[in-house]
Amino acid sequence: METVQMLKTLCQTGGVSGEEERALEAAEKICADLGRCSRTVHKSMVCEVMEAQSGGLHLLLNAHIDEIGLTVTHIEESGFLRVAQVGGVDRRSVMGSPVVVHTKNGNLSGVVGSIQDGENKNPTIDNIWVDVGMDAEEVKQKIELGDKISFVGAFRELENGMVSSKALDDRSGCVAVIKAAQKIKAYWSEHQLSPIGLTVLLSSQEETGGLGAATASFGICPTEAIVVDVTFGTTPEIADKHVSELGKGPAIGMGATLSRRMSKELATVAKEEKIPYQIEVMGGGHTGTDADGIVEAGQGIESCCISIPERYMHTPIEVVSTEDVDAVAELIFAYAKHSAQVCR
Amino acid sequence: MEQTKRLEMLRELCELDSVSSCEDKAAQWIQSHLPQDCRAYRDARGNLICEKKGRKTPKNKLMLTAHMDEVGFIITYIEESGLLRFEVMGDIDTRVVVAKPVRLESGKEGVIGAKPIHLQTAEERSVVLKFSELYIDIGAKSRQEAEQFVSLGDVASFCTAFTPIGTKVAAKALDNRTGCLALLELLHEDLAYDLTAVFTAQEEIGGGAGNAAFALKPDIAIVVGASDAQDVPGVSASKRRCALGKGVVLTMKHRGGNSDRELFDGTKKLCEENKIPYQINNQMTDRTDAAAISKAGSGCRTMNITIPVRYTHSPSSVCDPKDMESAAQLLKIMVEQFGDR
Repeated sequence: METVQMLKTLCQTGGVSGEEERALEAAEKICADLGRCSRTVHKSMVCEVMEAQSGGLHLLLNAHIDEIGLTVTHIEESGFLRVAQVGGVDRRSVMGSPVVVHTKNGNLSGVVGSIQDGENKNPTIDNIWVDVGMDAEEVKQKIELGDKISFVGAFRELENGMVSSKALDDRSGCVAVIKAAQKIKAYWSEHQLSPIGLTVLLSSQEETGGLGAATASFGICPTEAIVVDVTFGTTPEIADKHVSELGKGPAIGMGATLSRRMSKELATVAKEEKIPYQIEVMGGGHTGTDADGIVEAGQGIESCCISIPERYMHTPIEVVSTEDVDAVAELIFAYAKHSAQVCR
Repeated sequence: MEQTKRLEMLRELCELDSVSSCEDKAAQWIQSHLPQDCRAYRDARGNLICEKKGRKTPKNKLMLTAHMDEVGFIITYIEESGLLRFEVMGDIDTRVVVAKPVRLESGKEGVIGAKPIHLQTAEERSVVLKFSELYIDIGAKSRQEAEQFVSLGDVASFCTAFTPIGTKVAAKALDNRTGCLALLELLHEDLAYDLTAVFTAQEEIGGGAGNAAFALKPDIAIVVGASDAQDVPGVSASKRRCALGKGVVLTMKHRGGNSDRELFDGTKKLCEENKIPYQINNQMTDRTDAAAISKAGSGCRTMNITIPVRYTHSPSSVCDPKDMESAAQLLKIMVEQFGDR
């Protein structure tokens, strides 16, 4: 499947943290030829692409499947839904947003309302509501407290291979790791190479703390992990932050808890294979990605981050470059070939 | 008109991009949906004027109006980087603009972005952004590339999909395509009296309606618009103005004037006699076409009737189709009664 098609399919499916099943079902279809897929305790999807060999390299490719959203906390007598955020919802962007309420019996459309109080302040999440166009009686029949709500953000192709959609954080990462695994598997099979362990993990609940990846990686117990997430892509108001640029390739993370060896080798193979790349310095002890949980899992797992530059993170109109998504897959593929050689 | 047919037409109307001063798309659509017996033309301001023959010539010349423009944006500058700077056309709360998609006149779609939440300071999260801080991103990497899709002065509109929600509908531009549809429905009726329907231009930025009224010299003008319904949480009953599903709204006071008392009372009586659900909004803070129409030339008596809409001037406004039905019923009866009053 083409990158754009795969992105569209995955991004346009609902999968708010804690309720990722619909998105995972879409991903599982795409991964059908990749290997045996299963669910972990916390509903992450694990796909065993090549079986781990005792004492050999076992590479884990991770991206998170969940997306930010809202959840129903109260039903007003007027039928409006009060909500809480699931993950970091940007209060500046919620007013006037179309949303989908995911209920047991299907999806219901709604819009986010808020009092235009003229206070020159953005509403807090406590002060917004979701209007589903029904009275309280009907709402109570159809919607339960705890139901998840995702933002509507249609998939749009912009110029220069850029695309806009909700949930590109981190479905674009999911596409990159799936494509990388497909490439590696095909190459190994074509050249009849001695197998390495290769597992794809599409983790749940990253936006709410990383429970999915931390627990799943303990169970998988790889020798090393590559975590693909999105990072800030530059725009005028953050030009002074020295963040990555869209279309300039994967951002290889350098940070305290990350493996320097892996980061350096990724940069080396990128140069050798002429894959464009950028360096993203992740200051402090955390990366803000699933890598934070994976490095600490079990006896500890050597990990690195590869990030896809993204504009307008955590809004329904996130933007990434499909060229960067493809380049991440290429980079992981090149790294796998390189690592297998080193190990032999 | 059947409700399903009405909703289908409303969907088509809302999906047309017709930002103030660029109303051609709405005007053409309306013109192509007029009945055979309507003579239609555009005037110097862009108003679409439709002369409809009834069974009789009324004593009072009747003019009915609905504005066909919508709020939107105008491109003011193209950055070297290919990002587009813009200003608003009409009254839009900046808060409903952040992180929304828009469509340019050329059809090219883009998004209005801002700094991600992770990099915002506590103050930035709270304080409302200014339009001067926002831009439209179409993915262009340079000014030259952007110029293939946009020129300075081009307009852009919201591009939300028309979506049924519960018993209601959510869409952009319900203010005032609901009014346009009510007026269009009226023109398809067999009417007691001749009338002139005007689909007005530029209402959201001041309006061309006054010029049409000057030229047409009506005795009575009925302005069909949208009322900002505040039937939402946190608003006390006294401040709700009007509510969805409670019927057509009769407005006495509006910014820039009042409805004619006799017409107002007469309309109320018609609603009661004909069991048409209605409500009164006497807190209309918006300037409507009625202000300009009532003072055009030597002036005319006006009556403001509206359809309640929540979240007006946002990409996701909401209305109840039932209220459109009440408005359509009322308009027909008003023509019958007011022609000879």
